[in-house]
Amino acid sequence: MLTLDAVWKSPPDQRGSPILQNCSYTFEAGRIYAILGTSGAGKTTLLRMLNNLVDVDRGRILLNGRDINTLHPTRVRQRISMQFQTPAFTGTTVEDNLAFARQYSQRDQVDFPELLQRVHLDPATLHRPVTSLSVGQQQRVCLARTLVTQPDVLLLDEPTAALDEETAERIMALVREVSTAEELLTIFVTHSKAQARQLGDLMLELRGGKLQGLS
Amino acid sequence: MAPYEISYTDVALSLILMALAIAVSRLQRLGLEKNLAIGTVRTFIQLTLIGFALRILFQTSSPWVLFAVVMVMLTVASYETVRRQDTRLPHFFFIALGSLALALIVSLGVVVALIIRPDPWYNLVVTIPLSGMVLGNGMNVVSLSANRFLSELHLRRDEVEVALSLAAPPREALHPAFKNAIAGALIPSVNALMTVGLVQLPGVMTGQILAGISPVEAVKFQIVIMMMWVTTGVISGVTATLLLMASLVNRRWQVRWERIPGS
Repeated sequence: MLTLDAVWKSPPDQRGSPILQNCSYTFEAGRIYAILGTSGAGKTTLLRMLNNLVDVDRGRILLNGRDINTLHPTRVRQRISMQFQTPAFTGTTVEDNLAFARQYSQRDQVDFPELLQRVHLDPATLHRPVTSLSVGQQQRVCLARTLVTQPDVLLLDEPTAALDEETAERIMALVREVSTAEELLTIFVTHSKAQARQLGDLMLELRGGKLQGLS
Repeated sequence: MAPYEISYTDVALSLILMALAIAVSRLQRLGLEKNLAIGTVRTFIQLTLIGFALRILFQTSSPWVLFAVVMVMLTVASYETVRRQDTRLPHFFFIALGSLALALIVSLGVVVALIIRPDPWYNLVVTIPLSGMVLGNGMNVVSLSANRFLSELHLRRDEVEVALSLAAPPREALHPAFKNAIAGALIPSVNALMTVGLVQLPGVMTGQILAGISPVEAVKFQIVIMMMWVTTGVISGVTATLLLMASLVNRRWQVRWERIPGS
């Protein structure tokens, strides 16, 4: 469970109206939330805040009832994983990337081939350089990497923005499959209402400094 | 071998070379004429003055004089390092000062205590020229590594954020940028180690040979100076970049991107 408790946040450049104004909201465990918002509404900043990559101006973010600022950063980020808009890598091969994540997880053993199968990648991909993969495959590697720490919460920042429609649909179907199988609280931001409707259990809109439910 | 002596008139004749450089700049429309001219005037004035100043200093004998001269050198070097940054960074003057001072203490300490062993230990004829050489390279490496570190961070922002989001400590998440910054800044120093004697004869050695000292003796000093020169670059560059890194990350392992130009 992830809770925003009276959170205020200004845009990174301090210009324009606040992204969040005294916003309180509770994301329930095991559900998939789609957050819609116009370009520049602050969707990415919201996710970065939830991953503790950037501070709130005022208020608190609670992970299972505990203020994330009182927890060690490692603990917060092991429990809350984030996938970014464009794939970025922490090693040369697929295995390097997964091993990087394992290094900072609490797990000694991770079955990488099995993990790749869970994101519908051929286990033989393990030793390939990530640059030799398509963008769709790279996003699957990134998704597998976020699962290494066995998080409770998965944050996704428009993970299909750089993909064609067909690949995007496959990736989002995969996200739903993985989220359901792992019982993850999943929060993804998107500008596509169709995608939000298709995959979100709940649709929210970031507008006027608040998260508002959409039917 | 008889030492060669040159008069001020002879020195002035070296202006022929600068006139040639300025002519080339003019001919090729490089726009460097003004800076070359100002630089030439400054070189003449600064070096002439320092020549007289050193002659007076060398007649004194006190560790406090050494301390005072080194503090002036450190302050000027730190100020120059700050001036060469593309962007103003908080506390960077003190970061430069601290890292240059550490590098100077280590390298000068080893050379004075173990190798040259002057008597007294603070003999200004030995310590001041060595300090100047060391600080010169430290200053270059610190400004290059800091500039490179910031541009690497800007370029690698996604990679850094991904690593942090995977619970990597900042020291690891920022390590690729740190490594590239130091490696880049040390290229001139490493190249100098590789080609010294084969391509260029360093200034100190050339000076000693021209002053009549046996090349075999001059080489010994030059080797010691090269070790000192490179080590100072490594220590000051690494220290400054680590301190800069610390100033850009808070205790919640967040990078203060607003302090990094372009981010």
